[in-house]
Amino acid sequence: MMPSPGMQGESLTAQNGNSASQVQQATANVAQATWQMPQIGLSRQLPQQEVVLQTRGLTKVYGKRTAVKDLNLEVMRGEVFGFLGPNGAGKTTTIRMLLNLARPTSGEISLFGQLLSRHAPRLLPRVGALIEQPAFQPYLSGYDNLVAVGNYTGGVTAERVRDVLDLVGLRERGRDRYSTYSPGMRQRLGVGAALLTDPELIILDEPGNGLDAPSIAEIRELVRRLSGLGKTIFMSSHVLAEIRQVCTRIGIIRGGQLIAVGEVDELLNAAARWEVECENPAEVRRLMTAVPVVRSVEVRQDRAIIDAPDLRGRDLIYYLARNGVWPESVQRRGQDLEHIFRELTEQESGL
Amino acid sequence: MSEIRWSNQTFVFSSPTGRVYSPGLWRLMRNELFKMRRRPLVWGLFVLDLLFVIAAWAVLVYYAMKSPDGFQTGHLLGGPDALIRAIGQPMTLGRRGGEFIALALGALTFGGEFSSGAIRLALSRGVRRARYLLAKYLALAIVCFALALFGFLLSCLLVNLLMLIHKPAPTLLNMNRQTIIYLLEMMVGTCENYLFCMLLGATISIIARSSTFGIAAGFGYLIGEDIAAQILPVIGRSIHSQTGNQIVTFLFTPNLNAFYANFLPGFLSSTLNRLDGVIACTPAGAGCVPVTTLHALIVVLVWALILWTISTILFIRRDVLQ
Repeated sequence: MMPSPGMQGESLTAQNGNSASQVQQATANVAQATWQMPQIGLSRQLPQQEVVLQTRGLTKVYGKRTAVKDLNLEVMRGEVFGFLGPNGAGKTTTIRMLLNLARPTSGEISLFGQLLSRHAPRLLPRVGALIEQPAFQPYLSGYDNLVAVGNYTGGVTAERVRDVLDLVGLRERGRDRYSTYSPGMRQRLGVGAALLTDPELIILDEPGNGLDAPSIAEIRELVRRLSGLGKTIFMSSHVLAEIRQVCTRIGIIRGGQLIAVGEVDELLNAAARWEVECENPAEVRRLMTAVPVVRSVEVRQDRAIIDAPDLRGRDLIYYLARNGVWPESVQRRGQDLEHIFRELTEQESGL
Repeated sequence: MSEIRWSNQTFVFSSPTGRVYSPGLWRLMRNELFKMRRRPLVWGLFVLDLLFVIAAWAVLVYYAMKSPDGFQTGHLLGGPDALIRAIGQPMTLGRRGGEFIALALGALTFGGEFSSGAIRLALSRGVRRARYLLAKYLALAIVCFALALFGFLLSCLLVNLLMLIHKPAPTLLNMNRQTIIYLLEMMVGTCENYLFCMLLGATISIIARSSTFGIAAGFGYLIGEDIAAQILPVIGRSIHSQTGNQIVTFLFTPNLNAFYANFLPGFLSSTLNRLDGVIACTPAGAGCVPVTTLHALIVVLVWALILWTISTILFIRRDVLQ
């Protein structure tokens, strides 16, 4: 049913009997939709899944600088969690606290359901980690370095060390001194050390550092295989492309604060926008700004870009039509994750 | 790098791991010894210490060649005390070099891991920090003991070569009970010196998180105190005060030297000035404080307690920096 031009400016209410139910539905859809993006997943309820890693109000202050502020994270068993943020966002500080290398100023960390501050010697041997740049004894060979690392937790045989060297492609260079390794080889050894004890939780801080493209692809493949074996993986990076293909969930940190967390699809969906092409985009802006679910409306030439990801297309068209705006086209534009990441981090920093 | 490819195996690992746990002191200590054993620099410092012993023996040989009557009774290499003199001289010079080497080892063991970042690997695995620190100290103590022992054994070995220059000359066959007691006492003094120098180097490197700074500052401190031990009494006398002497009796290095000097037989002390005087304070000379063995030990122990406390608190409480 076509609305008449005289209905311009009308609100989303039923005007005649035939369209009453449709309008009510549209109103309900618009009203019920809420913008979730910055909080996605922060309070998500996952059914009966074991939380392997959890932080509550985690804060780290260095002098006057707050490196991490009130961080609340949950990583479930078997999950590949991507921890994203630009350089200096607080990723490494968070990881250092997770590994007991830095003490939180306030807040708590739980690993495998137990407090890290009380049970670190029992919990951390179950974690394998690559922290920042790999750092081994420069005078030891790759093999000896892994033996020494294995002695910190026990349970590592010579065969296991050889297996790890094999896995990371360093078998041939295993007896060479670490100081002679290239940055890429050092990174490989770091990944190997993280996997040495067959850990339940693997924390990888910028695993692609210093690696060439094929090696990064191989790390991705390795992460997939480990994930397939039920390992929980916490992977940080400032390069979105590095982890987007393997992570089941992503958390974005900026200025020490978690600004978004959720599944990749959730984030993509949340960032989707409606692009309305019409003769009078300014009128579209006027109309849509009044709708609570709409975050913003931007006018670009003959288009209005509506930031309202949970708004349904048919509701939008119907609402515009009833108010006398006849769009040439209405399209839903999905955002690239890279774009979302950039937008979120810039938004938070006020750029 | 790019020519090396990751393994294409379809499984992740073929060999299972055993039970993982936070290891005990014994295992950690063995791991530290393993790392030291594989470190060429440690062996280099070990060899350097032995070179000090050989150099001291070479001086002895030079003296013997220049003064044939040195092998006569009553002279350096003659009479019933010849053997203790012939072994004691290289040992004493070895001790002076060994103090610096022990300090460098302490600084390298801790500061090296801070500098390279390798300490993160250990502490992120759930190793208890206090246990890790203690394991390192114990491993270093073993190395210090080995340093003293090898210096002693080399001195004993070299003394037999004096036969090549002059016959008769003192050999190990002249060893008697009194000589053994003196040598053991010198060993005790040497070990004590090494241990506390190691602790000094370790503490400074933990404070600075740098082996280079630890070594430089530690060496400077040892030498500086040696010099201070000689200057302070002079200054005191010039202002008609005993304060200089009183300060010296509570300094770290002079008491280390005094402890060692108190174990030396008198006849050896009197002849060692020329050899050991290469670095400021001589164990039996004016640079050393005239205190009892107990006083020297207590003062050094108090210093050690302070160093131990500082290093332990900093190591346990501080964050590991990026």
